Amino acid sequence: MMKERLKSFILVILVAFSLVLAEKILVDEKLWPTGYNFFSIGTNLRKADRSVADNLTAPERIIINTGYQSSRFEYLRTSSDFKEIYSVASDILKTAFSKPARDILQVSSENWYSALTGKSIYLSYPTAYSAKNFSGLMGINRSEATFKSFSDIVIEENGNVYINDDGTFYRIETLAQEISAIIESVLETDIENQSVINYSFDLNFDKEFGSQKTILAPMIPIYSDAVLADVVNSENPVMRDDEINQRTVNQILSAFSINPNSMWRYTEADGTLVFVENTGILKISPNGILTYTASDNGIQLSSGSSPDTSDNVSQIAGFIDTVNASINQNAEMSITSPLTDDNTRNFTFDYNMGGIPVKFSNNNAVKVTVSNGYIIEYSQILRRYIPRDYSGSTPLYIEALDNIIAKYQSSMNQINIKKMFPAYIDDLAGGEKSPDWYIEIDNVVAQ
Amino acid sequence: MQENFGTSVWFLHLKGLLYKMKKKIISMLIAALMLFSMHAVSFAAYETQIPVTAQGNSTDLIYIKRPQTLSASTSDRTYTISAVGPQGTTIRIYRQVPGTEDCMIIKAAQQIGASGLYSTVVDLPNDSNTFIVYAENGTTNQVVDIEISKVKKSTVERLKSVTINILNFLR
Repeated sequence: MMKERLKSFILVILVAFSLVLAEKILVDEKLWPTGYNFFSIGTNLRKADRSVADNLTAPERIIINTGYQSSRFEYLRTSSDFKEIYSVASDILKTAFSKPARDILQVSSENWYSALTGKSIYLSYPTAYSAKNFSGLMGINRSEATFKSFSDIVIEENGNVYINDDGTFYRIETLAQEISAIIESVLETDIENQSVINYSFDLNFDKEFGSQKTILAPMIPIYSDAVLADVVNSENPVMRDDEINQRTVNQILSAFSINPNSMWRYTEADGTLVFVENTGILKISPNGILTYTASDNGIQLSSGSSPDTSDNVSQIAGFIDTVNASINQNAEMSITSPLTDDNTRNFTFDYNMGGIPVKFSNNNAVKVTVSNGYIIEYSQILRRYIPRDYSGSTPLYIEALDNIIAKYQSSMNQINIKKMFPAYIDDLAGGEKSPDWYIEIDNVVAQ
Repeated sequence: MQENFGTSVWFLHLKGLLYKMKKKIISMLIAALMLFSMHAVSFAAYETQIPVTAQGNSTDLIYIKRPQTLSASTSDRTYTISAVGPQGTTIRIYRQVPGTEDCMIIKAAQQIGASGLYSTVVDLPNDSNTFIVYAENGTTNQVVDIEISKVKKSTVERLKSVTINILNFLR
């Protein structure tokens, strides 16, 4: 009897050991030969959560104008308030963009600026849209609006929607009342220690006077204090312990539907892994740069006969979500290439961390080229941004401007600042990144 | 010998002249010293306060961009003053103490950088607030008076609405 129990006990221990060992074999790729862990890919590839695809028409920042210039409130994408406000604004915009052409009135710039100094919400987008592409991405079948290029929208408390179409202003009445309630609720917020937000036009920095050298675009927000944000750690997911993380590589291959067993692979002198299949060539470099070039048609985006720009960009965003899921991250990204053309073939996207854009020097996080509904070129700077448990602050806006302009003033008579906003500037070197300013001067990007 | 004698006479003559003028020279030196010290004292005083009647020696060192007309009405608790000026110009902001002729410093010296832009947020504790913007660049200085009045929110909304209507009418 005792012998039987001892046997059972040993058997249970052996079964437990075998389970632990099996888990190690399946999860830890180092117990498998390279390229032979296809089973673990299937178990670990997460379902893409559509962080990119669901935010194609989301603004990068929302500013609530309470009618008091000393109490404007800014909300970035990651805040819960942003999601609630955007949900309301999104419904109002769907109503506005569904209106017939006769309800879209051209108005003066004074109306636009008056709306911004009164009670309203301002939606600032990371790129410009045409009415057709914007409404297509919003899921509106047919919009009669003809706006060619807009990236700023204001919704007044009475539901009037204002569009700044590249300097021509339009108003669409919706009679929506929800904005008023939002403004009243934020007015109850304690504003004692909040930074005062002015727009450049409030301070007349957008108007030239005498020998004034620096002109700021009218909608640049100017913060009275330094902007605080998390310090983040920039990590390259391709590398682990100074070696290429084979599991991550295999998961990326899976996202591109490349079978690790059937492709031909080799390593370049700089350590870049090259995977060759009949359909295309995928390269993953040790510094986390992924490039895909199609050999034949490429990666099919849509089965539709003639996909337009909004169809293409939706499908691309879904594909980026799949790639991001393959490296186990729900990366927030924004479309940053203009969606003003009906036949756009090149698209760019950039990371967004904690609602703050991440910018690379003269590069974008994702660059995609499509042709006839197929991705023919794709590149991505693979990065994970992990927030640290402490914050950093940007320099004061005026100091940042002074430093940048000091570099250019000898070669430029007048300096037009087109964009200026807080951002993480990633030099690809990895490590900690503190919030800083992204400044775009005419066609020069200065960081 | 005759030459040496001539030099001595000339020297004695000069010495006598200087002796006669001694009092005048000392008085002039003292006056100059007082003038310099007054100038220094006046700038030292501007570090923390400035009389509301103060005037600069220039009117075009800086240009106030906001408020454009040097006076404004607002219902806000604060107001943002903006200006442009040449790089290296130092700006201080003072606010008049109600019922006195003195303005006390509320914004310490800040130098305009390469952008040429300046902005600062000032509190509006009173219904009527007089600010003095004091700009200085080398020996050039400028004093600008700014009046900011606080009004009720409803009054501002009415004024804004009337302005827009007039502008639309004129188009």
